[in-house]
Amino acid sequence: MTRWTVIFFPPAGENHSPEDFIDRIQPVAEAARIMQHLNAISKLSELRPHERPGVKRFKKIYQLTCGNHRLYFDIDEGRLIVVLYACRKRSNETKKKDLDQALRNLANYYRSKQS
Amino acid sequence: MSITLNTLEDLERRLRRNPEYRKQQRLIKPYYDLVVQIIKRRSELKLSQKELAERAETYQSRVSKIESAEHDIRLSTLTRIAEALEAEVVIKLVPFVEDYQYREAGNYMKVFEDCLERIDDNNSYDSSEQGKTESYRLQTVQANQK
Repeated sequence: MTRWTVIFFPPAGENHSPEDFIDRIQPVAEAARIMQHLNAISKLSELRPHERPGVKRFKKIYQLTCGNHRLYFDIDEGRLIVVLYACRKRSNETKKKDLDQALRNLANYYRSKQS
Repeated sequence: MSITLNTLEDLERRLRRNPEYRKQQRLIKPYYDLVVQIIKRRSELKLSQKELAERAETYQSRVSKIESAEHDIRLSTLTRIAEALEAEVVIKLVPFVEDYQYREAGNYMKVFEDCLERIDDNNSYDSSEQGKTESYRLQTVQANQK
């Protein structure tokens, strides 16, 4: 099966862009790990999203935990993984603020798609 | 109005300009290559993590950690897991040539693009030109998806 395509929303340069966040992560080993993890989950196309390593369904979206970071994503038609928000993992509990931001980005993604 | 979004490959290309990133990626990549292969094979055989652990005489928690690339797997454990997956381990040490995976995949276009990027890196960085390249690439990605 073909791999899924991973895209980032909001785009680079905008507030809360996951792409910019990953780009700025220090040390770069952490960024490399996140990139490899995203690459791995995009290759495991035969599995449902929440069955992929480090991924769990969280409210309306998916949460990927990788090292000291959390990423939130959703899936869209055309085998797309839309990464909506990335943040540093500060505790074992998901911060409501981070989840709310990811959900806002999700709403904005669908709004941008329609306009 | 259409939105153009960068893909994982676009970000990867940008990050790979940093030699330290390329080094870290070389160190981490084998773990994730292994993760993908173990999960794919386990899924082909329709085995749960627990069943695989039992077959490989290890713990389910260890299989889970291996599959999350959180565990530095021992070669003996790997060979047992491979056996349990009715597979064998093939190890290859290859003198590293950057972007060898692209060459292995026969994706010469990617090698060509990366060579161009390296030439760009050696010359002064022109952000306006870079913008043009990225935007072209994005449109191509979008067109492919449609």
